[in-house]
Amino acid sequence: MGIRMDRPPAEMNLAELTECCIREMSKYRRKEPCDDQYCLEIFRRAVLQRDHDAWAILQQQFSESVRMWLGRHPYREAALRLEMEKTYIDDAFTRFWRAINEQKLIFTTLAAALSYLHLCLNCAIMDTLRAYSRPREEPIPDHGHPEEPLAEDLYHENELWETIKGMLPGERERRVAYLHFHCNLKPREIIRYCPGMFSGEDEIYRLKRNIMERILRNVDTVRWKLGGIEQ
Amino acid sequence: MNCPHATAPNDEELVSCALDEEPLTGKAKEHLEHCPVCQQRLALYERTNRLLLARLYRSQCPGVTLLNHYCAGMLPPDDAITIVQHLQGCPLCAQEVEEIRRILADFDPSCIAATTLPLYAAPLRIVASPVSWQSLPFSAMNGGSGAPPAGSWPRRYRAAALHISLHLSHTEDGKFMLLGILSSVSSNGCNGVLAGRSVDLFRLPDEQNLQPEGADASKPLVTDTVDALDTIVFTALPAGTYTMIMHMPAGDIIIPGLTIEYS
Repeated sequence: MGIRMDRPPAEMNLAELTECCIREMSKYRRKEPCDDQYCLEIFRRAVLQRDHDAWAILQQQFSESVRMWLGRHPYREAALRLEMEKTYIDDAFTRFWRAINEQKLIFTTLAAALSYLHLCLNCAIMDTLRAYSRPREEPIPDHGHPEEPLAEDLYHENELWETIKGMLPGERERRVAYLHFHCNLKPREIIRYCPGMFSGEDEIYRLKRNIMERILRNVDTVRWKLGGIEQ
Repeated sequence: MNCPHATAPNDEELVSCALDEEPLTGKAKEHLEHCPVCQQRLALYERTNRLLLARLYRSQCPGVTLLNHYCAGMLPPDDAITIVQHLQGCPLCAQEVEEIRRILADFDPSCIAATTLPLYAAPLRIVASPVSWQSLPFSAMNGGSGAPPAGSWPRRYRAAALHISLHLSHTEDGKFMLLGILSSVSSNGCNGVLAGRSVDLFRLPDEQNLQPEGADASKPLVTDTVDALDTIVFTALPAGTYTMIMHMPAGDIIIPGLTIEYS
């Protein structure tokens, strides 16, 4: 009597599934024909059944792959200057778990599941780079928090921007205001991103002066939204 | 309040200094170093700029996850249209989308690291499965022609990545010695990682078993520990039916139905 490897994956215990998954993944890695139903069954148990052992198996089996992908990422050096390797790996799995649960994602192939896990790693890296690129006036958000600001904060930012736009009469001033305050672009960068729209850096300096003068002239309107501006 | 001095920097110079970090030069720079009015003007521009930047920087931009989903074609049409409209006006997001597309396109999902089986089972208790002689790489008894007779020895079992070989021999005083050899599926031995793990042998009471008076069937008859060579040895065992329980780090491995008897 031997190990019953021919049972449907749903009837196998986790140890048997893991063994089959490893065997098939070896074929998958060599681009040979393989059966990914065992791995997908582990995914299914981990997510749909909230099986913690199955989730632990997934992390154990794919952490090295995520580490390998991180090592090949084009922004690897910049990312590792900011956070540790393990942080990105853990964050990728956290995002993967959250996305599958919130969006009810279902993977029909192992390739699709791994592609999405890679996408989660990319999000973890880019979110960190974006967070550290913010102009310093507020503390860096804790790692693992959603990158989108709270709805309440976003409302205030939207309201503030609409108020400032309302002060600016021309499309060119509004464009320069957006590129400066939302993108933090310098005049030469604005020229590069908007070819032909402005005559040169001098015009952009002039427009920025007009923008600041209008904001400061109407400081009372924005003070309660912003705070901290005094003339 | 503007400074009336002839060498005072004009508003454009102060704004470019405050917003774009363009340094003042020449007389304007010298004037600023000594003029509190101009210093106050510059500080006001700097403070206003800092506050607005902190509040507005990328506040209109979709999150990174949304951009990745957009590039992967996972967004509903309305959301995708919203992203496209934003990209037309935001060079930072447009650049990020270009990079995300390249990163996702370059990814090969078959590029994964080699993995190994865990040495012991993840579940807390697992019953080891007997391994048929046909699955063994070496020749079995009876010329390797088929399954061994029932109750014969040696026996092999498997639990996750662990192979367990049990060998029985009897001593001159009529007792038995049971030898267990542990090995990993992926290598010849366990490299001593299981050394020190305890293994219990429970004797099942039946009509033939004669339990010493006061013996407790719920306690193991004998316990041994795995040595550095991945072996366990039980000596002076009386005939009977036993259950072996191996206490591994992740849980117990159970081998039931070990019948030890004279052939």
